[in-house]
Amino acid sequence: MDTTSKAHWLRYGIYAAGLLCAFVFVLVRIRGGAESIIYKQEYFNARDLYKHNFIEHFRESHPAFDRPITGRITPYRETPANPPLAEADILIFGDSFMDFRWLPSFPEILRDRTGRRVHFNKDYYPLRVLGEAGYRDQPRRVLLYEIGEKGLAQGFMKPAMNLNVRSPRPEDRPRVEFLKPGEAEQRYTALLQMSLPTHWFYRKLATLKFNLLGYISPLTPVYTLEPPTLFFHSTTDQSPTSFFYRHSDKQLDLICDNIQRLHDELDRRFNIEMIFLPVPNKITVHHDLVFDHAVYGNLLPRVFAGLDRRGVPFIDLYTPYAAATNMLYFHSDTHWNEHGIDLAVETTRDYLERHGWITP
Amino acid sequence: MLFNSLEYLIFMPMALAMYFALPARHRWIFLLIASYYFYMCWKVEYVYLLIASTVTDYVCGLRIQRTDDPRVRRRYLYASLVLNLGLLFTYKYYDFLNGSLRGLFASFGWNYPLPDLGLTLPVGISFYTFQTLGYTIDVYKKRIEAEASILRFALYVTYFPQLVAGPIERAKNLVPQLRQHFEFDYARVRDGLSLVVWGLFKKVVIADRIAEYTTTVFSNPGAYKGLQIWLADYLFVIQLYCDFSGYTDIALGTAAIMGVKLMENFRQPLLSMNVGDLWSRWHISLTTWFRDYLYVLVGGRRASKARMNLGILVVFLANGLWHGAAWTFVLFGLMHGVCLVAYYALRKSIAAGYRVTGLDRLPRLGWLLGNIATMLVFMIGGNFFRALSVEDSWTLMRNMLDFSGGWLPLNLYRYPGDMWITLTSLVLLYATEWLGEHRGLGAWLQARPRAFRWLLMAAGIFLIMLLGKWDAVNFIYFQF
Repeated sequence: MDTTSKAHWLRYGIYAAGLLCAFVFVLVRIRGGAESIIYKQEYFNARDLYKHNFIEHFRESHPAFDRPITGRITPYRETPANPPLAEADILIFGDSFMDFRWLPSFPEILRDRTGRRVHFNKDYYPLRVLGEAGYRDQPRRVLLYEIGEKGLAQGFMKPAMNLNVRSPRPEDRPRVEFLKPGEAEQRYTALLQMSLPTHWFYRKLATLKFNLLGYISPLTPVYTLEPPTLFFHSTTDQSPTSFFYRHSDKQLDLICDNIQRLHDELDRRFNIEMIFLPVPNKITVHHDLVFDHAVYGNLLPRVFAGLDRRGVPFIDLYTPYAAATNMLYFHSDTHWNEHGIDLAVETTRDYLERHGWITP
Repeated sequence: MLFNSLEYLIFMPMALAMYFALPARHRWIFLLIASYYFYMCWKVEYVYLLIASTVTDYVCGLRIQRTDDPRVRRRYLYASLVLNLGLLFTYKYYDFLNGSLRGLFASFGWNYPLPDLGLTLPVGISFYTFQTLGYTIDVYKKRIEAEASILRFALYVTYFPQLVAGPIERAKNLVPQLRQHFEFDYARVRDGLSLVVWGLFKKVVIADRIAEYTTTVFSNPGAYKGLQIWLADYLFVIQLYCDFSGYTDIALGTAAIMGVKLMENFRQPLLSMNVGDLWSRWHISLTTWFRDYLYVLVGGRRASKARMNLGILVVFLANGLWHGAAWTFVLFGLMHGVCLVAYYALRKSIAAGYRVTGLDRLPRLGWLLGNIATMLVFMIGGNFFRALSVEDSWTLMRNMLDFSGGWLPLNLYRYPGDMWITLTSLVLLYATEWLGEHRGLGAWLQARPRAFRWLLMAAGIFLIMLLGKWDAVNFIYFQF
């Protein structure tokens, strides 16, 4: 090939690359653009810890994908089955543990097993949500306040956790965005990892890196291959959200005081009885998979003791979870699996029955 | 926007495609817009500093050129100096000076009332303020004509490949090139792309891997001693070089694709045989800037020996401070200044020593000894450059001479295999340095068969993907 032809090809190669990049550039800036056009749902909805790596050893089959998937499944909270606040018997405020998209979620199962109307709101700030919704003069109701153990240590150590301003929801973002560099980089990375044309290559490369050099994401530094299981970094490091961290008495008092404050405010302003429902971290329950003689910082039992002294009701999932013999969490995810949900729903139902919130 | 980010890997092909698709006479306008976008991706609000520096030096340059009245010319020169150095002082040095004064006052038990400003350091401010200052001084010295178009001048200030970490370009070199209409040239584009790949390799495979090792040692200097610190010091020299020259290569490569030849910033510094040689090969655009605009002010080569030595110390003090607002950088600069003065004072004795011992008949051995001595100076300087405080620097100095406790582990990497990758990379790095020095890397590559070149390029890209550390670690020189 002579130089003119080579120049010709190279020039048009640059044009093609430029066009492709321009397409990607626009795509990540349009809200929902990348998700709706390129992402494959299977990758997008893969286990959250696996998504930090895409190393094939940790690829865990997704029960929901055993059947054909037709489009996006709406989470319970966005379906008509989720009753309005004022019409529900049981209110649940919580996080992703309650918000499964592809499998029956905790609120749905609780609804089915108790025959009560269960409202779920994916939000940590019930005072704000109830106030904004104009919720008042209602009969006494129960509110399950669910929070992951990691979030508990993080959130309730701040003085005013329950009054914090919510961050904007994705749907509140503008249609086209001027992205900050960090955000743009994150979205490009997500696209590289999860788009149809690049996912296979990314996964193979990540697996090769793991096999050759042992590289794994710093977000999941603790793992085991027997059985392949990943743990999130902030639950295994030295931070206050970690399994090992021993909170001081002062920190513990602050956490319990804040929970009590939230409980009392809900009672005073909305005639609602809040029941605190912390979900243990995966490492708290399954630490024996990766550590031989690890000593738990004992956050949950100490919080329960503190709440008990303050008269704040709570549901203890830690005790039944620690006693269980089967795997209660997905291997490559921070969240509970069907067994974990089942045990959590049963424990909750039992508590509600014992305290007269529902009849057997 | 970091060069080692996906954001840049998306931005660059878009910018290049657009550049070549546009008619040649309009390309510079597009480049100006792209450059401002490139800068604003980091922090939109700091673009006003760029604009302030641009407008001031544009106006000052024109005013200086339009008059022969020395007082008026000097007035505009001072205006440019005050604004540029004022910006630099406010954003980079004020808090450092304030903190030092507060410490001094506190040692006398006095109250010091002025609070810190706590401003975020604008990326690249040391680079673009020096570039615009150089322009105004050149116009003042009548070395160049002032640029008549403010937009073209703005492009000279903001040209994106070299905006945030240099090379600190001279108007004489860059402005005429930005006016030229370059045709698409296969060889130039190919060489530019190769340089981008090589720069990225040095950054993400070598520098960012070594960064893990050096961070371990330098962030906890009391925990390491003896060979551990020697190795960390040596690796830091390599890290710094690969980090900065990697950035420069990507900048030079990107500009070369568009037809612009930016100035050389590194010339095989790892092969330096003395401290003087080192500084003629390391960060050339900065050292020549100091030589041309500061050293001549304090005497230059025509001054007396004492004045010349004083000039060297002043220049290196400024050089150290340019790198960062901390006493560690002051000590780094002074140490290199003192070493250079000592080298100039002793070089005849060293040459005589070589003759007496017969080393002058063994040039390679002589070079090796000189190179080892130079690297030692650079490594010890690294103890100041990289340490988080002066106390940490002294701890490192003390501990590097402590060989008690037997054989300590040297592989401090989280993944042990990284040590082998580092050692292999070092062999590759020194081989390219040697080729660059003795044969010219580009010329050597061109003499290889085409298949070999393609294979090398493909292997480079594959290794970047496989072995690269892609956690978007900042380029060290961004902080300056």
